[in-house]
Amino acid sequence: MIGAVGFLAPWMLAALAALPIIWLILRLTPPKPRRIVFPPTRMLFGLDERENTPARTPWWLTALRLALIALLILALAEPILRPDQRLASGQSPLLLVLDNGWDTASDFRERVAVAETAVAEAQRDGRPVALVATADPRADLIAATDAATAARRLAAIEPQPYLPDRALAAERIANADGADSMDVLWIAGRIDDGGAAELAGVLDKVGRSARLLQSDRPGLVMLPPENAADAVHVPVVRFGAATDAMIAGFDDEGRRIVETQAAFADGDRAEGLIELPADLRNDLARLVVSGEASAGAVQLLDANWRRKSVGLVVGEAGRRAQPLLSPLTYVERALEPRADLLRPSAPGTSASLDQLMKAGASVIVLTETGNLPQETTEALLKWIEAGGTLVRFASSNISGSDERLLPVRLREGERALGGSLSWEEPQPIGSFPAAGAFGRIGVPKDVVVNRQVLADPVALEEAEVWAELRDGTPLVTARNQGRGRIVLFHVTAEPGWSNLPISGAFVEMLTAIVNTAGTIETGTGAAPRAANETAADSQPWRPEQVLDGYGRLGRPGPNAKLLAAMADARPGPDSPPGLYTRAGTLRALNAVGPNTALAPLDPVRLRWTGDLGSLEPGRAWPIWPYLLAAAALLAILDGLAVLWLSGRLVRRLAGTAALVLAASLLALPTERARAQSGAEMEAALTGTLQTRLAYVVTGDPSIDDTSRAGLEGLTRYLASRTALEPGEPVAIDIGTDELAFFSLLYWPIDATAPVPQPAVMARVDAFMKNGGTILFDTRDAGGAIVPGAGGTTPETQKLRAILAQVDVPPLEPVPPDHVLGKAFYLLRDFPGRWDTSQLWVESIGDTPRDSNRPVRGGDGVSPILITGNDFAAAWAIDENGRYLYPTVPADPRQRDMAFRTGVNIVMYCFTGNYKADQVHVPALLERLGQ
Amino acid sequence: MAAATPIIVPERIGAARSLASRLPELLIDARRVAANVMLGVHGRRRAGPGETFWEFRPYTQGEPARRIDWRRSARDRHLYVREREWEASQTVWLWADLSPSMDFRSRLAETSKLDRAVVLILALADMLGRGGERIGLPGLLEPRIGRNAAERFATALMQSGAPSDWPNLDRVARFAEVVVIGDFLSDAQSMRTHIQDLATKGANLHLLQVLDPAEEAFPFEGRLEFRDPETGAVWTSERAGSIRDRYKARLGAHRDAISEAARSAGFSFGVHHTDRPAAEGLLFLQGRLGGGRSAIESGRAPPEPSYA
Repeated sequence: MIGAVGFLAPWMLAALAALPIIWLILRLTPPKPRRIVFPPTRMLFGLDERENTPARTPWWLTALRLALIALLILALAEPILRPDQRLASGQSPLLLVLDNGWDTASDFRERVAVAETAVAEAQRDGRPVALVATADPRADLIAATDAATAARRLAAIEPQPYLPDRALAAERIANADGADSMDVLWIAGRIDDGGAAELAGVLDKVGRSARLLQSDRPGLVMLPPENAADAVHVPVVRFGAATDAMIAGFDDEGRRIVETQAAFADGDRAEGLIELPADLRNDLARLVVSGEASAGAVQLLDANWRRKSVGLVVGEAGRRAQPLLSPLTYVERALEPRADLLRPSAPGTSASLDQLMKAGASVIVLTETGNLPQETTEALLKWIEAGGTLVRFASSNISGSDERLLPVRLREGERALGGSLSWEEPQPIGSFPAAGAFGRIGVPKDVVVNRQVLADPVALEEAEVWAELRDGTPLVTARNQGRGRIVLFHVTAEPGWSNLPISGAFVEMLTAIVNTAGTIETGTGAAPRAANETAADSQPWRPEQVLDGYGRLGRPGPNAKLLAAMADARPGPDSPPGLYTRAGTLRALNAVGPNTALAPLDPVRLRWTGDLGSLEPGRAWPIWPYLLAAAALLAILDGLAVLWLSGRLVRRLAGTAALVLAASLLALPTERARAQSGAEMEAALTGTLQTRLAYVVTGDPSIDDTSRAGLEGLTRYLASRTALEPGEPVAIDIGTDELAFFSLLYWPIDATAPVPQPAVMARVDAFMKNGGTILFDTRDAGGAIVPGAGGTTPETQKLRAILAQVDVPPLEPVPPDHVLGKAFYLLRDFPGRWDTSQLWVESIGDTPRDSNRPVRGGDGVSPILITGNDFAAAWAIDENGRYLYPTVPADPRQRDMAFRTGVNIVMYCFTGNYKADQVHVPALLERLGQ
Repeated sequence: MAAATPIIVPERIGAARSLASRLPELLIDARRVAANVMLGVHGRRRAGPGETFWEFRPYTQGEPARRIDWRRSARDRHLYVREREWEASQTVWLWADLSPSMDFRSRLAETSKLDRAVVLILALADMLGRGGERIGLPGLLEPRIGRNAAERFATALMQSGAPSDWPNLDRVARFAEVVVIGDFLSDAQSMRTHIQDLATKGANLHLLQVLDPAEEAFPFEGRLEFRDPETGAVWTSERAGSIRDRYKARLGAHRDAISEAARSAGFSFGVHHTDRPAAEGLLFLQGRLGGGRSAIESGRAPPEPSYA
């Protein structure tokens, strides 16, 4: 069985018949001779006729070429090697059942490839094929068709973002096909959410022979994450031997904002922890298992999951006109960045509470409220049972409240500390018990409580104490009730009783309450903000974006329908997972919900009696690439042979060619990427981590030492006079070192050094073109750089030779209004060790000379500066800071001017012509009307 | 091919100058040119017409009285005649083959044959010009004296028309020296005719054959198609290596024929290869134009074709 070779394009083999003709042509066409001009050719005439007869191609070259052509023809016939495992054996029509739920998406291409192979086999045998995609909602395409139609349909099948309804498929198959009428091939998914056993039974019955193929590839499924107080817990379930899951979190613009690892220790369930501040956590819009292209590896997070909506209610007693004195000002300010705040518009406390509960608030802050009407109390209690969190603050009338709306029974009256009639000191906060929601908050030292309501110590056992004062009296108590909880601050929400509301801890405490608050069940509390739009409740949910089987968000397809209610929606053909919207509210429907059954599809449990197989083997192995490679090799040999025949193959060349050929063959599979060498990296770091002055090494030690000492001197001067503090100067080998890290290069000209190679000068040219500046210093006190102005010094001649290879812009001596004279100091001339040479810059002659502008800058920085004043010698200092060279004339002022010149040059190179722009400021201000 | 390359480029004049500067002024041995009365600028180391003082000799009776040097004679009782050094110059015709076959350079050589021939001609012209000889280019320049001979030659060569492989030597007179530099690859019979023509005129001919080392050694292998740059004739060889020896023998026979023709006429013949320094060729010509004449003249056996 093994070794069966098939041809995908067997008609190409007919071309082999042309081989004899090619053989004849090859025999008659000898390789073309090499032509050379040779003056004594007339001496050769008639030298020997024997050698002049037209030669025939040597037989072995003909054989080589025929083999080459035969190989090419064979390769074009596309032979493949098949370990011939027939997928669809038998003679009956083939029933191909392809699971295409999201659990197959990660290796769907392989599944389709296997299915295609099976269909192709059936086509070869002339058997009809019935193709059933279990997650495909269309029921009418179950009848057996010819294989070509099935292949076309197969190409259109995509994985669906929900699990297949196999029970439905089983029913359809049982209705369509009689017993033992088909040969069954079931390419099964990973997950059985019920119904697989039924399908297995039907297939068993229908199939004369049955085979089940399963993938060996591991799969990962993400379950709905849980937003706990400390972190987001993301549970991941694996199928197969997946090692780790990398979980990535994306915000609503698709940016990857967080990543975490979920490691499978033992068992098939792992949990990734995403520890993020609450407001960043709210940015999460989507959690994805990286590398798993499947809708089951994606969890969409909606507003309900993300942000808690907090309703704020102030009782009648606290309604005041001044906003800053409103009791909930501090709560508002603390919660605004972290939660949606709902401010009721209805008059009256009860109406406000009703409105908030309808609007879907998951936290309600209530203050200055005593007793509430009975029905409001009942509604509140129901809301709390359903998951709401009620946060209350003490007030003077709180003792009138219904005890069911308080976490603990309170004692009558309140306790004043540190008043004029009291011996007691104001109490600071003692501790946040670890069991409470504030356990992670550091105890603030600056909070003191002057007044509080006291809990009845007897009743305290029912409630949790989240914060207590130093004397042990509770400051914050809480009690869980149903799925929700009630929290009471024993002080007021404004700083009348304590300075807690104006402390930083207050923000953290409220944040912790909101983060640990539960949510109201989806569907019951979800309502538009304006409570009077009750009509919106009856509107259906419209799909906004839907997931495809691979877990990608996209526009909803034609199958997506409006959803009446989100709460009981299950992902299916009519309700693909995705984001649904109703009147501005966005809700997510995920492929994997909290109730999704995730049992692996196990043939043993299905009591499968047919064959079992795996997806991976049975792939056809193409041979033709190897044939092509062999043909290429023969072509190279042919070329070498022709060279050898024409006498052009020198032995050394032949050896080189053979080596290159061998090396290229060997090197094919090897990696070519190589790490940047350490020294190079170090040089790059040296150049980039700090701004540095750089000079070009000439090779003459005395010049290089002077350059180094000079730039060191300038570096110190810069550090002491300007905001620029460069690092140690760097020596640059113009031929090899990277120039891109520097904006200014000092290049002293050495008359004896050779002119750099053109390749090197090309780099220099590129450096100058890309914004670098080179300061050439001929150090000859201005030996006539201008052509025609008398004799030139060797340095100047050398400079000309160097610059002959680069694109030098037109130059001019620095004009009086050039920005170079104004970049830091106001300078008129630019002396160095000498003061006889001028400083040459790129000409800005075409910049219009405006009498109102004292400075002209030109565009950009001159790429080239030329001087003969030997700047480095003027700047050069030894390690004690003494100057190494006297200036000529020996004038201390000239030394200072030399340094100022250096500062101006450096500033000019680093800041460009912005000094020239500064002169526009008055005009700009005038135009702005100031 | 030759048309594409200007024959005279400034580099060649420079190369010729530097080559010539390394050798002393080339003085033609003028013993045979007794009848030549043309004045030259260099002395002949004997008394004769000229301007430079040579010697005083006693007056002999019968001489014109105006020859007496009265200033010298006044110092004692004898009469003296002031003799001047005989200053005369020789006429030298220089010519180089500039035909396309000369414009050939193989990988074995640094310069082409044409390059080398022109450099040699210019160097020779410079040396002779400094020596005060009258030098001319057959068909292009009349013989003249002058130190700027190299430039004149360069200019004249630049204006030379269609190159031929043998000069037009109609204006060559008796006793003139003729120097011809070329590859002499045209057939031996025509060469022999040329040499005999010149011999009957009584001029003296110096031949220098300039060859590329590849032409000498024939370092070719394999299947090759040879093309003659002048005629465009093509000759194909299947295994070029196998005809090397026969080619060498044929080239040698050709050279022997020319050399023999030159020897029988009393002319000199030398071979120069472009992979050798140009000074070697110049030294050969200097030797033949200068002192080497005596060996031939004295009737000794003519030298074998010397390889310069």
